Amino acid sequence: MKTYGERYEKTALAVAKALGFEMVELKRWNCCGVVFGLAEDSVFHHIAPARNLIRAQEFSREVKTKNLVTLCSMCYHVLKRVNNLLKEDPEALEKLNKFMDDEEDYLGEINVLHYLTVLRDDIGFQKIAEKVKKQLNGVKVACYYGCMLVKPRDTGIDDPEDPTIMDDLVEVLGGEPIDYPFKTECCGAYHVVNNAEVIKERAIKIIQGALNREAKIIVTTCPLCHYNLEKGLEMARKELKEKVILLYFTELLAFSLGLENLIEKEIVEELTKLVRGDG
Amino acid sequence: MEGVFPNELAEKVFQISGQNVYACYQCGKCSGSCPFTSNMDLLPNVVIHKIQLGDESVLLAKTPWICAACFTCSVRCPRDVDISKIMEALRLITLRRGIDRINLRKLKNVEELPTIALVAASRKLTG
Repeated sequence: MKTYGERYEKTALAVAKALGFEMVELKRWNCCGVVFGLAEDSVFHHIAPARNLIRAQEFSREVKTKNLVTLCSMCYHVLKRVNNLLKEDPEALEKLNKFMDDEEDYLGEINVLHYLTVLRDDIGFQKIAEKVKKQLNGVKVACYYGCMLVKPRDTGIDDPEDPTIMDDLVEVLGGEPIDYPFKTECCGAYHVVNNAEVIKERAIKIIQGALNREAKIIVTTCPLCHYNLEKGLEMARKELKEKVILLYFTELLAFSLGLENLIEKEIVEELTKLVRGDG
Repeated sequence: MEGVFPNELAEKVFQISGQNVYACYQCGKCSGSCPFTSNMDLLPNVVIHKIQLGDESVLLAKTPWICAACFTCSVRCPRDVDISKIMEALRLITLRRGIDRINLRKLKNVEELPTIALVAASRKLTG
């Protein structure tokens, strides 16, 4: 968020403010580890996320909320899943609490939420509709959910096979969400580090899938998906004939709510053209 | 469950992942769903089959390292086998022997890569 995902954070915070809810950054947070440790014989990989949950618990007394909201899908999945585990498995909770002897014990009372569900459940999409200053005028938008936001079932914020939460939001902004087959297919994740060809293959499939249904914009919720799709676009420039704008969903929201000064100038120009119908 | 498995590999996988490979009836839905099969040397259901048979050559296969734990197979398995956890167990058997899949010092373009990708890769591909 502070480096590659800066665009995401900036627009999400401003949108929250415009919609009347305040987000306060967690004090002394650390990296959650990005991926959930799937081994059942070890809690080693849960230490980093658990430490964030403890920080949230400490901070909750100051800010008077137990809701920990995340933007990144990877953070959401790891924090939510570790939180669920610690709420349901007293043995794992005891083990971690004993290991982290510098911190207070985690009590399992923090709620991990994704920003999108706060918009839907606490603000309400209807209220957002009332605040829209610039209608998207039926511009076709492909919502890319990826993996960690919707899978597995017990942590996902929507149906793992056919999520619609972002599509519903796009509709509220006056855009036309398109249905395409790869909206939950993996972008290749960390393979970008040592296997960029895999990313190229994945990204072309996802982007071409969206283009085939005439999407002009692709929106994502995850900085890693965003990076990989962007990388894929760069590598596949020759293979892809049509143009597409790749955005975080909060950038599209910011545009609709009249906060375009927070978005890169080039993007605002392209979006304005699209909305006018000459993109 | 110790001692109930007919081979050591299936038991080891169970100890690490909590998954019983014999619950799998080889329908192939995981392989039909996996977005990475074109990059794999063994289809996911073949990996499970090899573990069922105690064939340790599966530890040398590329497939567990190509699996990015996207959970598509785990969500779709009609037998509720969490295949992502089995792939993690196979990776961990190697990583816990001190054998890393990537050398972080030798990576190119580290400055360009987002932190999120580097942290995820080091957690999945190094011990």
